[in-house]
Amino acid sequence: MIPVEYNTAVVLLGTAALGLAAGSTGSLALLRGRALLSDALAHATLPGICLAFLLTGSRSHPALLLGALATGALGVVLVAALSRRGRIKEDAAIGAVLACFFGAGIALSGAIQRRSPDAAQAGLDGFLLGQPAGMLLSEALTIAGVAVATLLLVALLAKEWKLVCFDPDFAAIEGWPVRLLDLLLMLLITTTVVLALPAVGVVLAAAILIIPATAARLWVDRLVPMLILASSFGVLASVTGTLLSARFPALPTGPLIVLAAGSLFLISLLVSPRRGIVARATAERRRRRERERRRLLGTIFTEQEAAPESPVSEGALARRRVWGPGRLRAHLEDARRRGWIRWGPRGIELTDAGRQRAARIVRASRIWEQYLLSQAQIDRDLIDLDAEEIGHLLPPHLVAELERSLADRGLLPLGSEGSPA
Amino acid sequence: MSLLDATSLPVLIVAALAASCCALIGSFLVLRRSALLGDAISHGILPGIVVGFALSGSREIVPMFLGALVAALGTTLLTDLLHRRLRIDGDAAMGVVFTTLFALGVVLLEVYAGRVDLDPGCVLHGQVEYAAIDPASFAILGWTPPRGAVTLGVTLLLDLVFVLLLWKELLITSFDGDLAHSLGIPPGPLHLALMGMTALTTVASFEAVGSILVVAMLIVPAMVATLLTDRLLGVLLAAQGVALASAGLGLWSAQRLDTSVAGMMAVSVGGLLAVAFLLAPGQGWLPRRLRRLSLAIRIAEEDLLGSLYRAEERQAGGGGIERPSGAPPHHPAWLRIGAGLRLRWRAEVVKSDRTLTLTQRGRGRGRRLVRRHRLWENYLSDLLALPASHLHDPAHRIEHFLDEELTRRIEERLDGPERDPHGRAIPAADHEPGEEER
Repeated sequence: MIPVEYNTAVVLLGTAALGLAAGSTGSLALLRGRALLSDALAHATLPGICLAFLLTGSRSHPALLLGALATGALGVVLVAALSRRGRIKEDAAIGAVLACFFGAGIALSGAIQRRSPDAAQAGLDGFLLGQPAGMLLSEALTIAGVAVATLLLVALLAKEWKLVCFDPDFAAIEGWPVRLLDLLLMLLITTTVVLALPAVGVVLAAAILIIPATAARLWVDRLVPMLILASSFGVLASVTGTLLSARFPALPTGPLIVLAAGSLFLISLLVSPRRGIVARATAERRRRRERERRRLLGTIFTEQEAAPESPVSEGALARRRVWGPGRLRAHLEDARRRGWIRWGPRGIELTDAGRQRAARIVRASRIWEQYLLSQAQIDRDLIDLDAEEIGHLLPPHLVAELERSLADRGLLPLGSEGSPA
Repeated sequence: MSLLDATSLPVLIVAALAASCCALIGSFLVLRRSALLGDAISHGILPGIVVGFALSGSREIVPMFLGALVAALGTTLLTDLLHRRLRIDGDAAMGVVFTTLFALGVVLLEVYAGRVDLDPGCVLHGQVEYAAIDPASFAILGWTPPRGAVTLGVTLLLDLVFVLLLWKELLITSFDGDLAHSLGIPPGPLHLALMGMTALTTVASFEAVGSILVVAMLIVPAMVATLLTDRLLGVLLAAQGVALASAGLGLWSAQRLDTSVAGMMAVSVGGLLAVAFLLAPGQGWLPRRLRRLSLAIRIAEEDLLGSLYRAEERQAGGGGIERPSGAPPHHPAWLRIGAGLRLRWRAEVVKSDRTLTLTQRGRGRGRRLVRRHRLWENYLSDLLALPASHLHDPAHRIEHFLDEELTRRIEERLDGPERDPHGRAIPAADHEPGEEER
């Protein structure tokens, strides 16, 4: 257990609660296509923070965050207004609002800084990249309270949001208040982003909504597991970032939290069993090897068919130039281990099991060829020519007919009778 | 303080050059609907800049640019990989990549804090103000340009060469990707080249305006320009105008308010966008509103004239009536009142003793409207075989949009009918004696 000071514990409470809320809100935002809108929203809060400071002169969080809420919401409304119709696309509107509002915030904070350089700036600068170190217990508890409320709301309306996220048109037809739910979601996003400002900062606030949710999306397909996983990722990233920044005080907390989330995403990207890069590469390799095995068995079978009396030699297979010598040897060894072939005195022999399998493979591919030749109206690319279980794909009478025409030409592999037809 | 004195002029030059080259490249980003890629790149290059800076230990642009180029390509390719290969939502893919890279950049900044003379503030909002005290190491004709101006000038030149060399390709791919594809213009290399130029421009400008405000200078001038014009050259020129104006306005207002120049440049360009969005002649909100209002008034006027004409017809002798009946009052009251006032002002109706009467001129307009209405009813009934109950509503809508020529040809097509499907007479095309033509 890492010894944790009181201050760090308070900050941990605050950032962990934040990660919890951001994970679930972010999941909904991601599924509803609001990911980058939340980035514009986060940047648009900066002028509000500065204005609130100018108006009230206070550095207390509630006042500043109310200002943030106001201009953030204004930014979202402006994005909607700019892109509602006419020539401006939503992404351009998001970029414009993001950058111009942020510019206004920079100008305001510059003006504040030049007028009262000392006290004010300390409070405002922290909002750029986050400065949770000074978090008070009351603030951490507020964040925790809002996080719990957010979770409750998400849990209560999970079914409705599932519908709106995955099929908004159907939801509208079924009479669900899609606009109201969207508005509520936008409200949740706004609240979460504003809560994230003191800890993560204006520039990266949206990241703690987007990244854990996107990482969770790599693991699961269903909404509720995604909400749970994204919230856990959010908490994990917040805690890791906060602890790192407690250990290395020079490094800013907000970027560290985001980097921790980014690392979680990277790990998910690599190892997630469903959509991870490793899993996909393994599956691809397995498929390729299975294809190679079938090809080898099929080749041996046809060689044997051509000259039934003489066993197949390795040289004959090599002359087909399908595999290099090393690769061929490896495939043969693999087939032997699987009990499909054995090394006879004069060459390679198929075992009974191997012969059956090979006959099925050759039969399937010949039926397909026959089918494509005689009845082809199907795009050949759509069909895996190696499909062994031919009976599942074509109607039985058609398979029987194709088999007859193969048998007429002496091409029906012997020993494949036991296979489904 | 003037914009052209010894301390302001270098700042103005640097700001204008930064705005100009950003707007040039940004126009293509906006036209190709990759506006947010500019955003992503300007954030994503930060770690590249910091590493390049730390390794070379200087603010020379070449190592920073190389680092930024690697980071920019990384941002683009990673986003693409996540989106295309792993089917992550495009927005989210971009958001994950650039925020993580930006966070990495900020952390690296602190890690290299001892060796790197870049502070996060400068990265976020630029330091164009220092142009005056940061001169280049050489002079042209006795004038020493600010160092930033040299870098940005070269960048602008490179951007111009890029645009001129690839003008045709950029034009086609910007407006019609499918056509470009069918002509064999490879979308990939051109896209990557544009990303490279965006990276170069962003690196050159970020010292002046910072990595977030550079987004404003990249995309907003082009957004304003697309509201003003339809042609590529027009968009580029208008974007330049907007960029230069916002540089000047930004510097001027920053001096007035004593605040950050880059921030005020972003505010200025945002203000110009707001003005264009509201007032641009073709696309602006107000002109569109006015066009719709004038159409609504014309329709209300014509409906009033039409109902007065029908009332006269029913009374079969002319003369005034108590109130116009016939067409239901489906226009809002203010529109009906406005239309009535305008008609009286133009002497198409006269009001005496709470009674509206058509003048000769108004009667002509009303008659032509009723004629279009009844001819159209005939057309629907004869040629489309619609039942009588389905004739009035479409005719009531289209009567306002048929011109004389079309009406005449409909009449010819129908062999000059005299009565409409309801049995009412169709007024003649030529005006009655005594009725003056407008």
